[in-house]
Amino acid sequence: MTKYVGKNIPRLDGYDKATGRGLYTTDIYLPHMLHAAVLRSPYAHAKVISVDVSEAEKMEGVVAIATKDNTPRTYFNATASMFLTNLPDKPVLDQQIFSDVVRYIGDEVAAVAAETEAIAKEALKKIKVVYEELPAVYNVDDAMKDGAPQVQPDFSPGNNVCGGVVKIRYGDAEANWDKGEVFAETKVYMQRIKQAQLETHGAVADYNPKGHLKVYSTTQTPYPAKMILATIFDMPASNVHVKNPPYVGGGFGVRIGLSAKAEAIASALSILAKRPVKYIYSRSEDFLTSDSRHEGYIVSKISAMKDGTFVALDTRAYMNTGAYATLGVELAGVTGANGTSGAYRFPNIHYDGYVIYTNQETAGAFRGFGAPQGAFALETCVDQLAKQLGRDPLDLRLQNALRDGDEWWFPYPITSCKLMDCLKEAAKSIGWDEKRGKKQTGTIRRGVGIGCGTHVSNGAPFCLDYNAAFMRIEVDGSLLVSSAVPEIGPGSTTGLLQIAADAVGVPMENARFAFGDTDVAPFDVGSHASRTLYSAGYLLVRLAVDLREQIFEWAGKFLDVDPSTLDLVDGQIVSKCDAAEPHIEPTPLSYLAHQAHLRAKQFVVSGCKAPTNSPPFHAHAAEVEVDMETGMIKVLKLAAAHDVGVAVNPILVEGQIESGLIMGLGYALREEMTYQEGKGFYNDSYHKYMLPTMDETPEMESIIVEGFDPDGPFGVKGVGECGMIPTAPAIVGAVEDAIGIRFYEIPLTPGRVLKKIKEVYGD
Amino acid sequence: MKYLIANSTTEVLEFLKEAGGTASILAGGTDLVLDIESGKKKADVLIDVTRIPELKKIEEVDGFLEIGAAATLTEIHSHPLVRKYFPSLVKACKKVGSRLIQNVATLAGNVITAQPAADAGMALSVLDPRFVLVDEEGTRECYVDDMYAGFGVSTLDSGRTLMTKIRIPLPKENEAASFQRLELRKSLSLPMLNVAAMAAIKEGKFEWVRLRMAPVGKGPVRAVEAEEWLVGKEVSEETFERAGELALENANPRSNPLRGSKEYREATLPVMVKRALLEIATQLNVMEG
Amino acid sequence: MKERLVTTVNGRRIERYVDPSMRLVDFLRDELLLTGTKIGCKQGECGACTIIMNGTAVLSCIMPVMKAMDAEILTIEGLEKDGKLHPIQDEFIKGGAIQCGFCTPGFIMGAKALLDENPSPTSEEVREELSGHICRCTGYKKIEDAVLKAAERLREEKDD
Ligand SMILES: Cc1cc2nc3c(=O)[nH]c(=O)nc-3n(C[C@@H](O)[C@@H](O)[C@H](O)COP(=O)(O)OP(=O)(O)OC[C@H]3O[C@@H](n4cnc5c(N)ncnc54)[C@H](O)[C@@H]3O)c2cc1C
Ligand code: FES
Ligand code: FES
Repeated sequence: MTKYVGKNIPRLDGYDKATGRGLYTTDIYLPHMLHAAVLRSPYAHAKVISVDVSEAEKMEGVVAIATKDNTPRTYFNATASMFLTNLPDKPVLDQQIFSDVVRYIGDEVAAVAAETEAIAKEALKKIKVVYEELPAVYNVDDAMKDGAPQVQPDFSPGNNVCGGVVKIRYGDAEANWDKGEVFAETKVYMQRIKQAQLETHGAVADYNPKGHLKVYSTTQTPYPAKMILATIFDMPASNVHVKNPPYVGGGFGVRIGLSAKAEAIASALSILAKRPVKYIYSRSEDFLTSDSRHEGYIVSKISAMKDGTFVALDTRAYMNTGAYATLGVELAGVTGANGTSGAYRFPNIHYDGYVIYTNQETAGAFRGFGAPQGAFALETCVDQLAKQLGRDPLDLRLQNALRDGDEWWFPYPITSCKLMDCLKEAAKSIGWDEKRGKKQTGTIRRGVGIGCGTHVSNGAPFCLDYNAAFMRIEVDGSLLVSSAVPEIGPGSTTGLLQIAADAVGVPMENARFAFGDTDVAPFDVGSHASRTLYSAGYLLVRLAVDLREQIFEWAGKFLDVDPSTLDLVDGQIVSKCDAAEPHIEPTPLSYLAHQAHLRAKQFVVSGCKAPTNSPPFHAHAAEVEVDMETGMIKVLKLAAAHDVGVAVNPILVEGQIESGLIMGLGYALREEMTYQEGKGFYNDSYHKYMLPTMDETPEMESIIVEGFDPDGPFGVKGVGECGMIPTAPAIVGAVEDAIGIRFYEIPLTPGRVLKKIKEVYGD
Repeated sequence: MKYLIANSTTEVLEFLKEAGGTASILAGGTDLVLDIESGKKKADVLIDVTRIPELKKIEEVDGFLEIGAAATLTEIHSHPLVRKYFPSLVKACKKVGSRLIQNVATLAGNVITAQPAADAGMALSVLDPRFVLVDEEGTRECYVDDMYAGFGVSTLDSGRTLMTKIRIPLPKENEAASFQRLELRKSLSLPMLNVAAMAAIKEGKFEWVRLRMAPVGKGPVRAVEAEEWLVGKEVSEETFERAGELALENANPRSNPLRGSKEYREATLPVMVKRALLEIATQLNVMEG
Repeated sequence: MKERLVTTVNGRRIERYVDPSMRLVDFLRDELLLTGTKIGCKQGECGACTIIMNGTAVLSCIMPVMKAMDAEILTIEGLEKDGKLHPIQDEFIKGGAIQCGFCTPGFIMGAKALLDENPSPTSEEVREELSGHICRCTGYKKIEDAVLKAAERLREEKDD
């Protein structure tokens, strides 16, 4: 029995956040602090011949100017990929703070630190840069052509393929292909979208000339950020301290590693100025110069038997990773793995993933990490196959869905799987049987659709995953857990303390979780890959075992009983229920810890663990309404059923699902970064980027399918990214049900939809 | 920069004179503040006119509804008189940005900004409004077509002239107005298209129609051909459709990377016109919505 | 040139000389260190900077600081009374309406202005009135529920 796990404990940071006390990077004001602004390239591709800062330097209030001429030229990868790439692979280190070549409109050229932000911005205008423009390339197909301009010649000799082709082979798709009797093939295009988290990237760097660098940052991976900075500035890692203040205004993958280049630029300026420097990205900089979701296209082919059984899957993905690699290579792996093949029984799989450099804003990690793209491709193809077979798409999915005990190609087993239940629950909630396939006429037409998928509970095996932490019992018996995981919004730190309190056996009221700070705890990957609760929890339950052992050993001696008969329940040392009589008088841990202290003993443990991985499963269903005259689509309802193992805090789990649903809705219908040659991306503000507002939310039902994962701490699995994955497939499927037109390109903006309607139905 | 808070119309004129053209009148500031930042507009002096009691009034005077130039969109769309007489204006005011914008933005500002698809100004444009302007020379009244000089350019120079109020004739029993908007998002998004209409219907036929659309040219563009053709026509689906097609003759929409291509706008303009006319017919109980 | 500004913030009278080209949000954050009011865009497009001025919810990021002259301003810091959370704050915490929390102060101020004006809003009204606030984390549903719950509680408190 757990006291906290499974309960809707109000999140621990709620008070700070609801009262405005909670600090974020942008709220850090240090004495003697300077403000930064950054000069960015107006060209998509150019050599930087010279940067003349002499005029700018003369301005009153300007304290330091950083350029390629006075900052480290170390090559790095601004994402955690730099330190999480699995052996024997090597990370792609293709970035510098400022380099001799600018590779997209918005690439960094120089930075100014001044007494005020206004002065810093004014100073930018006085920096004279001489560029030599180079030919540029903007899309995957052009970039792969012979003779195409080379974006990163040193990192992709001759072909713009970043980090090599990612291949997945399972069974033998080629040899078994013809064993199938029916073949479906689809090609889908997906747009670039932006995380648009509410707090823009930022950092406040405070360099002490004695060699210590402290950086307040919006990173969602403090520890990797620290290691990247230590490498760039060639400092001992022990002298670099990265800290969330402690809150971060959202992440969604955009700051796995550094927050774009905020930390690097603020640090470079602070080192030059020997004063603290604050650099907060403007909304427009955030939109135009930090990682986005990969745009691109995927060709999927399924070979199946006439009875619907899947025989083989062949997928080729071509993704535009922009000017720098960041997490592109890992992403191509996830697209192929979880994205395109994860949720079904495919005995034979062939996948090739191409991540292609272009002269555009970099694409990197974004909630779902390639899986939304993969799922959209595969689910489109499954719907296509259903149509060819004359089958109900739900039925075909139920037939091929993975279930408990199935084998698959991943290096870790399917520890638990309730995908069938997810599909059935989502379908039931949307009213599948009554609504699907009903002939529609008139101006407004309705339909329903469904999609499903899987994901991960941490980064392994696509990248390194482990973490370390401390746990201690304070002298008064309270529990302090120290970990470098951040709190970027999901409530991980609340959930982890629920787990820790239950695992140790102490009341949560006087337990605390110290987080987001590389000085308070050892290595932790950070928040990505839906890992935080699962991976950090995985370690904490094991640390709790060690901690209890230590307590019992000491208590045994102190109380003169056999340690193995002792238990710790709700902060009281008691005899185990099944221990032989006589049972001891319950002894408060507070008393025991104090007595231990007086005898020179504190209960302290630390440890380091690599978790296993457990796949979560999910299915989403959508009901939509299409206006035949305008091409407008309205989503009436979204139903989401998720197998996340045990929900540690159901309200927080629902929060993750709902959040993903609405983001998925934006992905399916509206969100899109539109490139204008010579100008860059058009969408530089919330006004020009149509993410859903509150009045666009449909009815939502999130269903947590009861489950238990044998490997997850207390039975949990990852959930953070899942809500994003099968939403677009469900919506696009519903549109087809409504108007009989399949869309192979998202988002379904009214222009795209109306054009197709006119093509199919005439004017 | 200097910031002056005016307490009366006379004071505004004094301040304007003193600044000799380098000042700008400031109402809600939802356009001006950002325009100054981006360098689109310049002003050494800002004259805040939102505390002049007379400019805040909304009242019925001699068959007109008078809306003070400093009344906010929220004050307008929640006002009982506006709700009673001009539901289409209420609807349009509620479409400007978000409630947080409407709480400070003004209708006068929405007109003077002269963005072609400004929603409130658009709905207002078919209501036959009179704009009351005051400057050194005195007071005068202008009509809609006197207000727009170009894309985002007003004929009114806010460094010299103050708009004090907007006067709208009250509708007769057989008259109604409508506002239609094609939007990518209900809030915080400029329209892809908007259409405003007003008409009088007698015995199932249009007596007259005022029909405007945007962004298809400078300011709210009149669909002259459709207006003329509609006179005397029976109120019916077919009539609306024909009017929609005729509206295209006066429309020259441009492509926008976000808010729709020229083709899309042309394809949907007739639909918006049709829906605007239907909205009128429904209000007057001539047809079912 | 600096100008004299007299205003009341969270019940405290404040008199300062300010640069009139400054935005109100910068005055609150940089000068008064009331950092609970957030900046998500500085263009009026996200609602993170929402405060209540003379009873109305306004965007402090696009408001010239001098608009605060003689005004009564309430920021998120002024909402908790005598160590007691406002019911809206409380319901946001309990109902899972907070995730990263960056939109939260703005949302809560917007919700307060809404409920002061309309104590019994429908779901539709809540959604419509608060849609100038962008939240990228929650999917909005729990925010809507929290506002409706808080409304109910406030009505009950009034009846008592
Ligand atoms: C985030 C955001 C979203 C928006 N969305 C929309 C939208 O969807 N639809 C839409 O139509 N608009 C939209 N707008 C613009 C809208 O807010 C403005 O057009 C508003 O109505 C202008 O009113 P204001 O009082 O703020 O004008 P101000 O900014 O104060 O002034 C605008 C111009 O009018 C002049 N002026 C104002 N009052 C007078 C007067 N009495 N006499 C002389 N000159 C005067 C000023 O000098 C200035 O040149 C949006 C704005 C923002 C910031
Ligand atoms: S910061 Fe004011 S609206 Fe975004
Ligand atoms: S909670 Fe993160 S933006 Fe709303």
